[in-house]
Amino acid sequence: MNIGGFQVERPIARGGMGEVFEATQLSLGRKVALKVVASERNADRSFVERFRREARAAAAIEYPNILPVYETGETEDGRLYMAMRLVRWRGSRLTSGRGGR
Amino acid sequence: MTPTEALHLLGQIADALDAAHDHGIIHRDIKPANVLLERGGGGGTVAYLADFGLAKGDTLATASNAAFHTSSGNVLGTVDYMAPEQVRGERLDRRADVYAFGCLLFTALTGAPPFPRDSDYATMTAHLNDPAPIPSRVVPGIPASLDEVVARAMAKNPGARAPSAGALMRWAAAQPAAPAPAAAAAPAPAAAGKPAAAVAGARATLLVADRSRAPQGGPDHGTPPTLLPPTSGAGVGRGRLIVVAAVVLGAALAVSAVLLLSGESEAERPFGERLADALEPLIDDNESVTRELEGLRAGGSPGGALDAVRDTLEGLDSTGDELSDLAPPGGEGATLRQAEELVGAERDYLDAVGSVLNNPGSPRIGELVRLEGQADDALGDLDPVAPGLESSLGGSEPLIAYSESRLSAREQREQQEAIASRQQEVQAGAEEQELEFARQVDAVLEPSCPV
Repeated sequence: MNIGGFQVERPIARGGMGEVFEATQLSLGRKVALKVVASERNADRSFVERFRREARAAAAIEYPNILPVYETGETEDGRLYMAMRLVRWRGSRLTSGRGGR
Repeated sequence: MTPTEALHLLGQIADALDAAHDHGIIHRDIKPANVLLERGGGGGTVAYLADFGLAKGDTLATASNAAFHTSSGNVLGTVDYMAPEQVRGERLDRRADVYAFGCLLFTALTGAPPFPRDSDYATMTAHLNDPAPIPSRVVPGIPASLDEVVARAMAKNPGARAPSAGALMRWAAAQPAAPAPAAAAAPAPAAAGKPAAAVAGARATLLVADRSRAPQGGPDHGTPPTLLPPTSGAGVGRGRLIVVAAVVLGAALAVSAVLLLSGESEAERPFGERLADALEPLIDDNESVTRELEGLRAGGSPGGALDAVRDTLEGLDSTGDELSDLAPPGGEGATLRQAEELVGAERDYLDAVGSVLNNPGSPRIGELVRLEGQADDALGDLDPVAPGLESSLGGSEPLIAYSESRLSAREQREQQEAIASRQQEVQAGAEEQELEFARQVDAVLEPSCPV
């Protein structure tokens, strides 16, 4: 399945807003994390507006320790997506190890 | 995770948070799931902060208490990391993120969030009312400096909180990793008593350091502020007094250099040199005050700090005498007056420090802030004494060194001013953003981000 210029490979997370996939950006051949908004959100213009604004905000920060947003867009059928750097571990590792209860 | 790992990884997150705040962006949802880790090329681990500004709260979507919602009826944030003002549904600024960062650090250090309770409601109530738990009481051996970072970040009152998570973590990283006293390790975090005096002191520190907000911010829990060590941690600068002295000295030597270079012949030593001599003892004295106040903040007794303040005040007296004996050559009277004003402002400031040390309950924080500001103003007046100094120094290495310290102090101050004004902009921007946010949002977003 392709979304925008991305080849979707496998789901890696799911939430109320939509799904996150591992995907390949076809133009550059790089792996990305692709967040795709559930289609039922399409009609909600305030949501759409906010999604875009926040994507722009995250992209504007440009800091080495802020997850880079590569691209955001809308598919032909109106679903929003956001491509980000693909990172393997999530921070639950922060709470493992010593002292855990 | 070990304190070292926490410093390394969460230090990166703290810096990321600062960067976002400097862009006027409030994250609102700092929590472990929004921290992504990646093995770096050199074998280290890179931490990323993700999901900026995407308020999420699926687990809260059914919460019925209106207080947990924004004006548009939405729930924001995750209760484990939720600042008191967020619980109350108030407008948020960067300090809400700092609070959440403190909770995150606590979680990373101890393996559990600060207020684990049976229900979200109980956790939120704890954010409002219960003292912040002390990491080393849960996991003995955690350095006191990290206890202090958590305490500073998790102050109930935003005005008593550090404004910058990055500065806090850099401060902690610079401290020797002395474990917190083990004797204190006994009660479970939920039952932990009042924060230690050092923690109360840290709050007072931040009241002073975060000058723009300090006057209206009293410490929470009715714990009186006890002292006011300026710290590097909160941006205003632990070494402020030292910087002041270095700048004065640099300026004085600049005068000396200018006089020398202008070919003026002196039967006696140049005015600038004598001015420098008169001011030089301030460096040592002020350093000792700073050291003592830091020791006090780390749990020492106020005796040493009081002695240092007294010594410094005496030193200021003799400096004042020496200044009045200086007969400045024509045109330098203004410099002398500026130096005298600076000495006077520092004296007022140190007097107030001594007064607070003598009366731990003294509510004089606002006045301290004002006096410190006056000392800064005096410094600002003195600063332009020798612009272009560096080009006229020739090969004199000590003078160049002084000149550099003067310039770097000026840069530091300019940076601080820029940061302060940026903070104001950010705050204004955040309020605007909040309004727009409240109007627009009527949905909560999904809770996870890329694995």
